[in-house]
Amino acid sequence: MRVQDAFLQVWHRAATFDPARGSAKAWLVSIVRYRALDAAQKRSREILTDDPGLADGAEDFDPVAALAARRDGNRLHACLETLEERNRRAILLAFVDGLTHSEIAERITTPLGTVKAWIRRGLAALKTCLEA
Amino acid sequence: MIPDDPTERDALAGEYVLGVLDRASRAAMAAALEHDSDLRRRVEQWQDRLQPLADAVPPVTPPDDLWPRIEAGLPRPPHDVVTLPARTGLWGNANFWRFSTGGMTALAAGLAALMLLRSPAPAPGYVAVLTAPQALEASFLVESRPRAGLVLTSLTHASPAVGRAYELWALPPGAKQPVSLGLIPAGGRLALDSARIRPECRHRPADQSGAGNRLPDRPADRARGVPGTAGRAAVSAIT
Repeated sequence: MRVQDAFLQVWHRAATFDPARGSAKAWLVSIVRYRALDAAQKRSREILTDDPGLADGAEDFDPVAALAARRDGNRLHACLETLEERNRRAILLAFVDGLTHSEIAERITTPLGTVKAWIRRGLAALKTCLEA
Repeated sequence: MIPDDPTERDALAGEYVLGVLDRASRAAMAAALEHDSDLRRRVEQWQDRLQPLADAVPPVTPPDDLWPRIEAGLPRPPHDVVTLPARTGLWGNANFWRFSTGGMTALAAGLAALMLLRSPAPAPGYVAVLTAPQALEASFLVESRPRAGLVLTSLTHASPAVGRAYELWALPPGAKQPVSLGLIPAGGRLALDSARIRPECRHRPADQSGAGNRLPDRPADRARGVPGTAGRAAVSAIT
């Protein structure tokens, strides 16, 4: 994933931004993130970046702790904590490491159908908790 | 491929935002999102729900040469868009604004940026981001569409102070004073079709022969190599 590709896409898609549908930040994040996911999937589990200047610092990243430390992350953090451990772990692997269903299944040596069910149940529980 | 059942659709939207779908499913979702507004709404809701997680990812300092590379890839050469220095020169001068706005008080702290409304053939349109002096976040997005005119959108939902309104200004090429393109409504969105923009500020689409791009008040030779209209735009807060 080349960072400048994502920024150029932001430039080209600026006209599609609609402030009524969310913040500019969320819009930017979604573009960059989907672009990164596409690139990662094309290369199939290879490193996410070819920018030599970008250090690969994500490995030590603890998303739950980072969320807890943020004021705007309290609610999501609390709801993630209510999930079953395996469901939460699968969701975090997906979001933080950018893994697909099948990549998670391979990573944690678990049948694909099981991983899909964990994530689906985890997302449903997360939604219920966040909307409570 | 895209289910009808609301629960299934919501689950799929969540999986899409989470990034767990395989390539074929992602592509199918991306295609469906172009026309399926219900699905789009569900995806946006999931983006909002998971946004704190994205925000929690530690920032990475980009290499110094990243921005030059991005700039090099933009459709316009960098010299086409120039940001005015904050609070300097004519544009930052409150007296100038008062003088030029016919009794209305324009704030020197108004938002200023320089943008080029140049229309090459075929014209892709332009986008300018207006950022207030000293502000970290962009305030307005101005989009110039070849045939449709100008669309200005607020990025921040920020309202001007009570009793004031934002106004969009343009400085046509060669002009000494900016002209008003209109007040920006409370919703933060202003759309101007070409007919409502004064001719000297207008973004002129290219005609078939490529000869229709010159400014009407300019000799042809001066417009050579510069199809369309070059101009500047700014947003100010007025009383």
